[in-house]
Amino acid sequence: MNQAHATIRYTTEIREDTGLYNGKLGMWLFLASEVMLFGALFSAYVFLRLSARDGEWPHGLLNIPIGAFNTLVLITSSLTVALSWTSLKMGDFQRYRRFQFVTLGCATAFLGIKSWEYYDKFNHYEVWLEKPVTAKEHPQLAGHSTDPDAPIASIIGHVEGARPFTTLASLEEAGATTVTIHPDKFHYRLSARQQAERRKAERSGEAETARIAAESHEGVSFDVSQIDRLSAFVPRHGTFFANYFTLTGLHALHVIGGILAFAFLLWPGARMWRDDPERYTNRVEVTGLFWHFIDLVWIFLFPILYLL
Amino acid sequence: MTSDSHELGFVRKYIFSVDHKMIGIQYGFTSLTFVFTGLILMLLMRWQIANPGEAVPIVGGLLESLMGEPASEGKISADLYNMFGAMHGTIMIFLGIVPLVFGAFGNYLVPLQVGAPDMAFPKLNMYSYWLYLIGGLIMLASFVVPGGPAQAGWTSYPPLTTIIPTDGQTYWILAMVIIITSSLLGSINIIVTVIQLRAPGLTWMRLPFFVWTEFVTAFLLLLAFPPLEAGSILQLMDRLTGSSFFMPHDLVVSGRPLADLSGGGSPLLWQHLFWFLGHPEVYVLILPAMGIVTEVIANNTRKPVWGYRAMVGSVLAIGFLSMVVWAHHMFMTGMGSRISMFFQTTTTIISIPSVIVMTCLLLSLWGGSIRFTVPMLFAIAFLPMFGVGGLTGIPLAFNSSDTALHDSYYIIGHFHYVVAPGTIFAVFAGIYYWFPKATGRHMNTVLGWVHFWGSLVCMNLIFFPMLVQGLAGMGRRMSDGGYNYSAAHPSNEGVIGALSSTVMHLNTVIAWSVLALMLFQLPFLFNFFYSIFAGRRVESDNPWQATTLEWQTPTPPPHGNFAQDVVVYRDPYAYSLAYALQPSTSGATWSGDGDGEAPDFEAQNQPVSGVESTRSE
Amino acid sequence: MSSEGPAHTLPTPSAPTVDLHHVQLEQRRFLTVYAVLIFGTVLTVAMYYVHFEEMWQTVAVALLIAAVKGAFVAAVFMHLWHGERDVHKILLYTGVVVAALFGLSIFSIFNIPGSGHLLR
Ligand code: HEM
Ligand SMILES: [Cu+2]
Repeated sequence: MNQAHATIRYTTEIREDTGLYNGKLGMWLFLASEVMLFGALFSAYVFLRLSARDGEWPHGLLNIPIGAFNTLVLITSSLTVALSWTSLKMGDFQRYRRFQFVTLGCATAFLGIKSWEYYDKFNHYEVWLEKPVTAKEHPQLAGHSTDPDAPIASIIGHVEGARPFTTLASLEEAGATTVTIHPDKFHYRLSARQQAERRKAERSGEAETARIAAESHEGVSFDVSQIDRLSAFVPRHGTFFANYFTLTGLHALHVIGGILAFAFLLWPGARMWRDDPERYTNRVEVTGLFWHFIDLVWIFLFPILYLL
Repeated sequence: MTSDSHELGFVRKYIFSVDHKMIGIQYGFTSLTFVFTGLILMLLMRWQIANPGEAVPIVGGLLESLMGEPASEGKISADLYNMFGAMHGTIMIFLGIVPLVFGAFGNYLVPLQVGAPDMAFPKLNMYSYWLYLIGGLIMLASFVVPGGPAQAGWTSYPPLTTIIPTDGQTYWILAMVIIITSSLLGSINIIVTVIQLRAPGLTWMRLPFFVWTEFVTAFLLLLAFPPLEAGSILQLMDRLTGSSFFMPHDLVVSGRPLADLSGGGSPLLWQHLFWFLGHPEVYVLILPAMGIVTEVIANNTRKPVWGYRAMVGSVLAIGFLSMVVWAHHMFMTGMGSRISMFFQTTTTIISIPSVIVMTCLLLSLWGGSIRFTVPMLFAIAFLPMFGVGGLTGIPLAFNSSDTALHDSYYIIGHFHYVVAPGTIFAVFAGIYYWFPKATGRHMNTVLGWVHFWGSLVCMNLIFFPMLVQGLAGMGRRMSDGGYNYSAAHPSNEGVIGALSSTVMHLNTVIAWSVLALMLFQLPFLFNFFYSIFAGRRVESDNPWQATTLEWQTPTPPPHGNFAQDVVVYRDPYAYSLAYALQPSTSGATWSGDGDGEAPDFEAQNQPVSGVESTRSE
Repeated sequence: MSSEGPAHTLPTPSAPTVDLHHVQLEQRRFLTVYAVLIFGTVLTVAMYYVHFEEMWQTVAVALLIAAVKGAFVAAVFMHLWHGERDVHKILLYTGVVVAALFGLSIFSIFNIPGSGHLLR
């Protein structure tokens, strides 16, 4: 049989009536399904956000400067991907390599920063009390409410001797009878405005309560029987963190996938540049599409998770 | 890229093959195996329903040694019933029928029918199959994990799924994620193949209807599956990390509040994510079936299908509308009447295009000189059977009547009519029809008749009583077949509306019919395997005298499919056209009834003849 | 999907032409978009410290900025501005479908007692 008939067309060359080569169309279809995947997760997020009880949704627990910096890192990598592709178009493989090194560097930095953020969250705790207490009873909690007589139902801070996935049950199992918490300077239940005011007051040393809270990062202890629940800022903590970790985790998996693809093209796959440069350039273009999509997802994730 | 060598080793040729035909066949064998696994689970369940509290005969001991505690004394306990029920649904839909109509038929036929040498991405195609197999094996493996497999139905509703103390549910989720990835690769492949690799001259309106249905199906899978993947990921988080995506506040189970849960999630959210796939999925089950039936009907009526354009339009309409009807499965969740009204409206609208397709097929029979071949018998039976299924769906579409029918045996009757004597009959039609192309041999006709008539009768004896039972008030998913709610149960003495003994007796009718149905599959299985090796050889490459491109290849089609470049000149079903009724060069003569009549068709790739070119296009 | 030309002949593959000027123009466009994206990010963060009266105002502005940034990435980095018709159609359809998923599932919680109150 004549082999010519067995070749699949349009792997590299463009089909006239569609203007596409197969790989590009395939990647766009894949991205369409990715839109549905992240679209569904975004919908789930909004769905849960809107059904949340008043005051249940945490605000201001994520580190905005770090998040913003990470956004810039990812955007930069998108630019270098785009420029590396134009380099190939101009036939300059070395320039392509240099840009792709920057891409890989940015991508790794992104993951590194993300892991640091995760680590930070894993070591922060919220402790829900059986009965609310007040800042009057426990001055260490001054930052947790604006009014010393207001009931405080939960405390956030560091728990002595706890590891990331410690629960109340596991503490009890380990024989603990009391739990000591070093409270944070303010509670996420305070509105964004209150939090900002607090930060300002603390900086200028004006507010009495804030000063106490800031100076005495002192522990406050409770008997285990006074505690209802206890969780680090992990998915178990509540629907906000569950969403945060699922969305950013899935996004990070995509980043890892992108890194692997680019690394493959840069090293073992680079031989194709000699044999079939056009096809190689197409591959970079298609992988680039995937990378820009990852960037695009992050552009939405950042404000939704960090700022709202 | 196709390989350059014909001397492929056994492994590359039959196991890690990148040839779409071999992959299609692999899909076919694997999914048929799953279908029969699902059938056996069903047989066991139906037997238990008919004889609640009795040990299963013959295989009872085997069950006990395999499943342990839930099958003690060889009886199917309520737990085991739930496991079998969940796995029957899951295996049938996700591992059986969908891979059969999409993976097997789609893979084998779409490249052939569009005149392409292979799928656009052969390697991806291979990965798709292997992912499917791995996912399927994980699903099966969940039978033997401690605690048994998933028990919460094929829909896996939380909070039940989240609190269920078996790893089987986690396996279920993992398997689903893998299967979803597999079908994603498959659907991308089909779409790219249809858009990019259509032969020159094969314009959109010249595509065989089957290609259209696979194309739309691929879009359904591409866009509807990811939300379920999202849902599965969230459910996996709930099970593994203790998050509360689907766990509401203050959930109390068996009188005790669930400790250490944040709550704040919503079971309704899962149902949205599930049914957003779930409904399109039922069209994934039926559209390719319609495609197969159309091919068979056109060929055996020797007529162009009636209203081809209307059918294409309808399929596109179904493709879109099926994305916006999903919550008709959720009328009873309390999601509110305004949104129910929306979904009830879209659901009634979507029945219109379905009816158009069915009407076109029915009218295609009109005035045709029908050849009652075995595939045609199945295809014709598909029409009224799918009709019953579709019509019984109408009362479900309305919020008010669904209130009474939801979660009853009526639902079971409804969707089994569409899937079993509907889709499965279409699959049989397809197997009998394309078998000669794939193997070069015919299947035996007499055995085919036995298979057809036996299946047709049994299917109706199984599923029609279910509609009756449902209307009488019998609920679905009851391991005792409704005994607790029947008049025969001591505590129901004098209760008005308790299930009557007639209604209960139908359980026995169903159980025997199921057994008979299984027996009637034996001629098929024998016929299938026997004919592969010793069936009557085909007399030509085009034994049914069909027009579409897959028949214009060597038999079985070699790697690369076509022996020459394919150019298409005409519509897909150029049968019985006046100009074609004179002797021509195409194909062999119809030998079915041996009168050696002249060919009455023009293949799609047959160059335009003098007579035809005078026809205005 | 695409035009239904008679296409009785095999389409000819387009020759790989490298138009240097065109590529350089493209590069300049990438850099411009990069600047826009940086600016958008700064704006998003700044907005957080400004504080609008109402929650929904913050949400609206943040999503608006994100949408503009996303549109730039899609249009220029992903070449959608000069994209192929089939790709546009597929994405348009996907957009409609994802909007249906989003809109309808969110809408379904509104007449459930006790939820959806944030927007009611
Ligand atoms: C022609 C129009 C159809 C209409 C109006 C319709 C309507 C419905 C409705 C409203 C339900 C939900 C009932 C309930 O749970 O209370 C339902 C269930 C179902 N339908 Fe259909 N349907 C149609 C066709 C089909 C087709 C073609 C298939 C499959 C090939 C199908 C498969 C199913 C399945 C599997 C279920 C049950 C799901 C479950 O709860 O486990 N339906 N149908
Ligand atoms: Cu449905």
